[in-house]
Amino acid sequence: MTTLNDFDRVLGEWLNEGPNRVPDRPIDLAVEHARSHPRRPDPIGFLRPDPMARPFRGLGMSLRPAMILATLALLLAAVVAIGVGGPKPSVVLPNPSSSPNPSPTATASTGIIVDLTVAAGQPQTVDVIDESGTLLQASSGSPTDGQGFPSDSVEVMNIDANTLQLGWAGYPCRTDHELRIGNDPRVMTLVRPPCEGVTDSIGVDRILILHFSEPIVAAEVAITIQ
Amino acid sequence: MQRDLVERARRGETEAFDALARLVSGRLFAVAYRILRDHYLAEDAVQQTLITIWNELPRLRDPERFDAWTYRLVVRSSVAEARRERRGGASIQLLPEDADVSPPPDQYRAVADRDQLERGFRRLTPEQRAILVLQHYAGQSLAEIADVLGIPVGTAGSRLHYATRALRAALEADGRNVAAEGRLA
Repeated sequence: MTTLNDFDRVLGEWLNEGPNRVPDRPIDLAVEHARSHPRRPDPIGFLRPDPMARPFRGLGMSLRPAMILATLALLLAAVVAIGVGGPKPSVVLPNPSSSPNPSPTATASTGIIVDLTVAAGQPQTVDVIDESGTLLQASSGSPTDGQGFPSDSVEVMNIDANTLQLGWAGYPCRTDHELRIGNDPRVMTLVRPPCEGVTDSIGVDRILILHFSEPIVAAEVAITIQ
Repeated sequence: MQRDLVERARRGETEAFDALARLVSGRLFAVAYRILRDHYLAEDAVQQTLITIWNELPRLRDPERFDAWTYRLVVRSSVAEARRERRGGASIQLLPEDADVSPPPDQYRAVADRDQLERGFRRLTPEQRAILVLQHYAGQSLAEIADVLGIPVGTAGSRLHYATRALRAALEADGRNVAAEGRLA
């Protein structure tokens, strides 16, 4: 081994050997994540700590009570607002429209809306709401004609270690599904509204592909249909 | 240019984030690779770092602190990857065909030196590797290292001292083993 006197030089030279160019894959996946997780308005963002803030010292100590006071003031304002509002009068809501154009509230979502490819029938969408923070991408698969999946459960299989395929069947009416992925991504709930009006009685398949940032095992995934 | 991209990405412009990610990821990958000594683990660490940058960027008040913050994130991701890898056991390392491996700058340096360094370095904890990489590869001062790691300068100095000592001890132990094997052969 080289003498210890030039240890720093040898270590520096050795560390300088090696790759400096990053492949596109991690960048592309991160950008996909950004596109599928658009920034949401954060009304209390100014209260969140700066990740590079210096530790509170000296004059900076005065900032901590200021933040606590601001938080208390916000809480108080919220309580007052709820109190002034009082009990809400009961309102009779109209039945949901059967128009093919969904209402604004129906599409107001914080997730990814996937237009499902269907072999027959009306358009289908699924609103994927991810609470785990591990979902990178959601897209539709390509089902074949007819019904191959069960209509009362969801079949889950791995396409690769990080990617799941979800398959289920339903009537070919227009349906806006919702898939909620819990804090634990292995726990999901599929909300499937019933068909309205007359529809074909032959079921058609839906396939949804979910790509996660970390491995997920299909056999460990539990999906509840509502 | 970078400051402009940081501010636009902070406002939620994905195009700006795309450009920013491509601008900084080489630097992040270089640091992650040198801590982890594994191409694929380094890719994962960079991906996690970039995702955290997107998610947390609005909280960064001062865009001038972006570089230090991203060093902090990539060090954390790399340490987490190293721990995960340790729990998962040994892996087979394959180098992608397009990997950019620079030739050794000193043709006369014994290959044994590099092999010994590789073995010795791998014996260090991920935190020790990180602090050595920040100083000897990224060329950061003790104050900068302390800022990146979010620790007092004195603590950074102490950690650097112990990391250096641990590496030297690992190299000396490795040298003794090689010598003993030589005598047995």
